[in-house]
Amino acid sequence: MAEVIFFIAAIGVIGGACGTVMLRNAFYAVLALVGHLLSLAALFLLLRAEFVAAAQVVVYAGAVMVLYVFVVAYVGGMGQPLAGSGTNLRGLSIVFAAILLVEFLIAILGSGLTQIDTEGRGFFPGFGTPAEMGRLLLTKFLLAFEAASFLLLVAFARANGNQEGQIFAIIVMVVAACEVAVGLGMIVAIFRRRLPVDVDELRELAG
Amino acid sequence: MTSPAELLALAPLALVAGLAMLVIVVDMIRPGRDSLVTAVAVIGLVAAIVVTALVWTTGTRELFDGAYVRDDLTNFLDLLFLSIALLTILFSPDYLRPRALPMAEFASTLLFAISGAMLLGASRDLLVLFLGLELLVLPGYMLAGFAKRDGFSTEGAIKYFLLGSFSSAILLFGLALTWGYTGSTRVTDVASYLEGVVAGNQALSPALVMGLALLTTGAAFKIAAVPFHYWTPDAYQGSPTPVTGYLSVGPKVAAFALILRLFVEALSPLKGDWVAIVVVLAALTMTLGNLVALTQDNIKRMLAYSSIAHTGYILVGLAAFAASPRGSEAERAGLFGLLFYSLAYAFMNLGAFGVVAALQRRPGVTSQISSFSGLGRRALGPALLMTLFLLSLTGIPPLAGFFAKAYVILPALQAGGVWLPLLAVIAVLNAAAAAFYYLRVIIVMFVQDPPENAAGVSTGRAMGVGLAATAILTIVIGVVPTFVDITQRAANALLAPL
Repeated sequence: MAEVIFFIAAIGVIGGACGTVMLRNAFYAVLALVGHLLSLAALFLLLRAEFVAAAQVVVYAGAVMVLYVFVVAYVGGMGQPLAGSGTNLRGLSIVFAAILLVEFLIAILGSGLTQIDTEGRGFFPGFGTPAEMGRLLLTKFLLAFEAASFLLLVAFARANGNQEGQIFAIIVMVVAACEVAVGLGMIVAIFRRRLPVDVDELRELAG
Repeated sequence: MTSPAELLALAPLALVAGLAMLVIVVDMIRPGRDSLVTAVAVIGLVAAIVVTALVWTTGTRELFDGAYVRDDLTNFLDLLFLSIALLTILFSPDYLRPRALPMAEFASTLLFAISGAMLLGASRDLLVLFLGLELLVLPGYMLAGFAKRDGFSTEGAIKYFLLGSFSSAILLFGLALTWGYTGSTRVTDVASYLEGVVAGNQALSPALVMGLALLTTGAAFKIAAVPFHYWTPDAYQGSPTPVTGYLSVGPKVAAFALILRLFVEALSPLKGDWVAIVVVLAALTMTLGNLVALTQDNIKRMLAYSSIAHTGYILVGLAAFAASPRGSEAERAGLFGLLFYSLAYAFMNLGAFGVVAALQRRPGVTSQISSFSGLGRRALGPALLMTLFLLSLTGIPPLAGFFAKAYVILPALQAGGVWLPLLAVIAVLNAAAAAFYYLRVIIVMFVQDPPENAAGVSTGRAMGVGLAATAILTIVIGVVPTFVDITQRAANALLAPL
């Protein structure tokens, strides 16, 4: 059963990511991103990271996506499909992406496959629950936790058998949410200046 | 748990973070009083500098289970970051007020960024390093786009943001892989794991190598090394001039702090493997930065490419460290060169942008080099200061820039082998080529006639104090032994056993 869910979620993750990049209509791209994030939450559940999965759905698929939808609605995603300019760079980017993919495959095949049919390290009851996460955040990762909350303030003003990875995920979630807030604010500023929203067309500064 | 006496070691960081919020509160109580906000920020930063100097006398401390360390390096970096913030705040009212940009928001955003830089310089935990970095760069994006009604500022900011967050993601991917395959987020544990790899106890897994490659890429983006420099010229040219001055030194020195904590402390067991990358990056960065700077007509864009070239010189110090045998004198000298170059570069570059900001006090003065024509006859003071900073950037003795270049090039010569002396030769050739574009500005200032409608340059009191302080520092850093002394201590702290 777990395998079936894993493959469905994995296909959702990859499909959602491809859709986000490739869909021309900004609304559909945001929807694909929501699908990607929900599938990712399912993968987190399979890894027994209950708290991270819940936070993923609430923070990303919920709150952050609402921000995206607001900005797309404000800027007018339906009216102007993103232009496919910069074709001379497209070929080059595909080549680089392919090289990176090969490198990653070598790295993963060389390191990860030995453990593919094992159950992984054991875990204790309560692993990944909100209570455990809270205990770690307030003990071992106190400084990181406080710095993350401080970062939030700025945005408003404008698999080892331990759970450190889940802390990593939570902290990154906070950081990414802050980045989204700042980035979308800039998009709105660009829109109000009536500059092109398509980044490829932002060419006033060059030399 | 952390005792109150240990918490004292956090005082400088806490002061700056508190000051950032205090500035907002002051602006809420007395809205629009720019001079009051400036005074609060300046007094607060001076207090933080004094506290840091006092805390330095209490010795090395580790807090939060080793995630935060206050050693000689932390204190050195804190003093440098605080000075950068102080000078930037002194330079900004003259530029912001005529353009009706809010001083309070500017000051608090800058202070948030500086607290991020201070956290970054003090952390020995991968997660805290990343958080410090993000706390540094996120306000940086906002500052770059601070002139919201200016299309250039917004365009520069969005380019800075997109490439900046992309490179943060790459760095984070590297951090995650490093954590995943070494089993700990603590820098000390990562270093001891890698010691084991070098000793042959564990195998180096390919995924960890991939992680290290991603870390290198991410760090190269952050210091704007060629070929990861594309965001720099646009972000620097588009930003309001005092912000450009800050962006060219604050995030760059902080990114080198990240390299010191990550590559020198955590990854130094593998330094024989990454030295080749640093040598190539240094040579490319110096050469391309200088060549492109030669062709620029806009002073901000020219100084942007010049700052890329200076990244290359600083990397020479890192290369000298990495190429030297462990425990050797050349290793120590390389790190000392890196730190001393960062110190000297911070003040001379900030000063050059300060003069540009002073010139642009009247809105409408562009940052084209032609704006400087005949400045020597219109306003002798700013013209002489600009000459001083440009000569120091060129590397003319006895200014700070000369000693900085000497301290990175000499260890590279001592390091032995073929590649490091060759890198030193490339650095010397580059320094000579760079003289052309720096001297060109000086010639424009003193030989060309001023345009007919050109007015003099008047500076406010804050700007005057800031420029004078920067000029004095540019002269004395190389010759007063105190600066060499504290830099030496910071370099030694890095080589002390973890």
